[in-house]
Amino acid sequence: MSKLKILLADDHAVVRDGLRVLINAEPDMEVIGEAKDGRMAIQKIIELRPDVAIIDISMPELNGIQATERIKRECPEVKVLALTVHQEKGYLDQLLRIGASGYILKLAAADELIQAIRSVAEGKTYVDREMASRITTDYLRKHSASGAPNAKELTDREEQVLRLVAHGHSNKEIANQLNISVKTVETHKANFMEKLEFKSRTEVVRYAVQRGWLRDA
Amino acid sequence: MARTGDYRWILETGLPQFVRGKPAGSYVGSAIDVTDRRRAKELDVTQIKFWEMVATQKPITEICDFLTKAIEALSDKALACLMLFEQDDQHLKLAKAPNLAKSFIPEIARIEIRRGNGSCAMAAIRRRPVVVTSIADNPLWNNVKDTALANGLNACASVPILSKGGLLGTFAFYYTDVRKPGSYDMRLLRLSSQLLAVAIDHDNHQTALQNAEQKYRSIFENAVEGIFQTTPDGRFTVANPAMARILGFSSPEELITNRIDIKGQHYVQPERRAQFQTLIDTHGKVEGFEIEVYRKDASTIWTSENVRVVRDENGKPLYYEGTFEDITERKVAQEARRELLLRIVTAQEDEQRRLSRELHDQMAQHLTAVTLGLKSLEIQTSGDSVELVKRLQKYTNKMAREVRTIATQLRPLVLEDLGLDAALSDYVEEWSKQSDIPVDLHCNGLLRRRLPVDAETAVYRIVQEALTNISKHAEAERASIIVDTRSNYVRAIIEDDGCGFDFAQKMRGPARDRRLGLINMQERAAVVGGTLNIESTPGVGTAVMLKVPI
Repeated sequence: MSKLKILLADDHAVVRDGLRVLINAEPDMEVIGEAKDGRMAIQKIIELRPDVAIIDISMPELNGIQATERIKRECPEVKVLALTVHQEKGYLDQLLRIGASGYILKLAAADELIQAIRSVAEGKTYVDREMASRITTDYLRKHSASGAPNAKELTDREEQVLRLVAHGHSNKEIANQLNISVKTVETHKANFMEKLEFKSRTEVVRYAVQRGWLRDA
Repeated sequence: MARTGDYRWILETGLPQFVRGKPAGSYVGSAIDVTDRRRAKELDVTQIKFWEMVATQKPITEICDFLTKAIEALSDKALACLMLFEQDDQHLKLAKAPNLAKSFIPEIARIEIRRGNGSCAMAAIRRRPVVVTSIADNPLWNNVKDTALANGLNACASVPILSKGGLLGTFAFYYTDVRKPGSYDMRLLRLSSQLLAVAIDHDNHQTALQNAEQKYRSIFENAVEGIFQTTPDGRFTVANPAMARILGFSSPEELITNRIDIKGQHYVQPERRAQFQTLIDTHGKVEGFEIEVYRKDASTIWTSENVRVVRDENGKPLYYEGTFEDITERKVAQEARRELLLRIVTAQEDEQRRLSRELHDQMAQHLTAVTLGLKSLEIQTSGDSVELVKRLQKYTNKMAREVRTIATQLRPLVLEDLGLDAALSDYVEEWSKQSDIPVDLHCNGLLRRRLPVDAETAVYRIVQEALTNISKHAEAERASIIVDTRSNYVRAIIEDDGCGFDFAQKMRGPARDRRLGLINMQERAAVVGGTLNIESTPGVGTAVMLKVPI
């Protein structure tokens, strides 16, 4: 059985050293090349055709995100495993969107790296364990909340106030615009919030977006 | 002369007698007493003259002088005396007494209004005519009878001069005889007091009006602020010297003649005129309207205007009137301060960004290398050392997490790398976990869109500050954040359902750290040209509303 061919791209030699030692200790894996920036990584990948490319997100020249885009365009069969210090979901979203197969944090690399390499090599997607659990929680929260299916009818005035609230106007501005008192605005607001079972202004905005009310700003 | 001592006017008609064609040396005729008719005519002439003087605004002393003398002449040998009331110290002051004895004048120059001080004092107290037929015997004269008697005055009738506003003075007839004034004299007294009331009232009114006008004129002429009146079609109709001076004209006239198109000649940004007109048409007034205007020499200054509209009976604007002041210095200082703040804030952000990068790029990488090395060591090691390696791994891991936290707190690189949406959602998630308050974040218009770095930073920092305030003070059950990006501005609203507060009171109150938090947010917004409003209702919650131009 041939060994898994792995390429390392990270601008820090110390990190590459650590990774290489760890990977080469596995009997079925072999580091076949290394790069210290994004541009070099692309050259090496085109030249060496590894099974898995481990790419640091923050690299000089082409960064990891740009590099991944190029790699997936030119050698789509190469699996990209992003390796990073960033645990913000935004990076993960973006990398998965442009075709990365895995995403692990440097913090967890010592424990998860080998398993991550195997997973992506088998065509699966690997996401750092801690981040995966955060995403799940987030997903559940977003999809369990929101919306009252049997919402009661709003009066014209309530709808008018709702639209203005959704547009981000303050109570005082709304009161001025509709020529009513701030207290009255507050009352209308409380009424439609209760009727629609809204708990925050964000839900008001989503409601307005769904109805296309925010385009005429 | 009649037997009573009165003089009478007689109209006589006579025919000579003839005896056989020769004058008989005798006459036949009639004598008619025409005193009343003649008096009536003279009184008419006096009154006509009086009204003429009032109408032509003759000085009040001249009018009083004329009337006193004329009425005295019409009286039955009375000596007229006009006293005026002095409100301040409750005295009567002698105004006119053309024929009273010179030696008596100083005695009545000022009379205290109190019983026993003579007929005038009593008339002033009673507000009714007071007739004393014998000064010697009347207790009303107890305090002052000697001087009157010594000057040969034996009787005195006095009538108060009254207007709607109260006592104005008294008008009196003195007599040398012990006597009761005739009914005609009493009529003269009453009439005089009425005429004088009208004249004095009118004069007081005129004086007050003149004083007021003079006061306004003086304010208008000497004001530091410009005062003006303009027409809706954009001409100046009135301007004060300050207005001309501020705009560099030598006189208000020069300004009015030369500046005939406010929109074109006055406004540096002519489109602001339309804004001004919309504002004043809807609200009837405009306060603190700040515009940049041209001076005569084409240099520009910043001014702040307070203007109101004056309309005709159909509601059509007739003209605008108002005041304005030169705020150039304040404006320049404000702008300088804003720029300085922006430089400080930017320098601070740059430094934090640099440190954050450093931690990520250097420290974090080395720590990664250490964890990787320890992992290799763990695989190769056996025996007692395994425990040690595991412990070292734990420490290193902890250290790496701490470094990451510090770096993110300094300045999240995700803000640079991925933008506001990503940075906020991570920050909010972390904050929510720490504070145990659920947050609903909604970003609109930010997908694949990057904003100028200053705007992104300002919004991010203000959201941070607002959330910090919520966790420290609000006792909220939930919070929501909306970031809405439009073509030329980004708006953020951070709202909670906590205890709320009275904003105005808070800004004065003693909760120092909180006040600073609010001021910080407002300054942070101002630095990037944005505005920040806070709407809070005790018991309902607080909304922080930010708008930043992009």
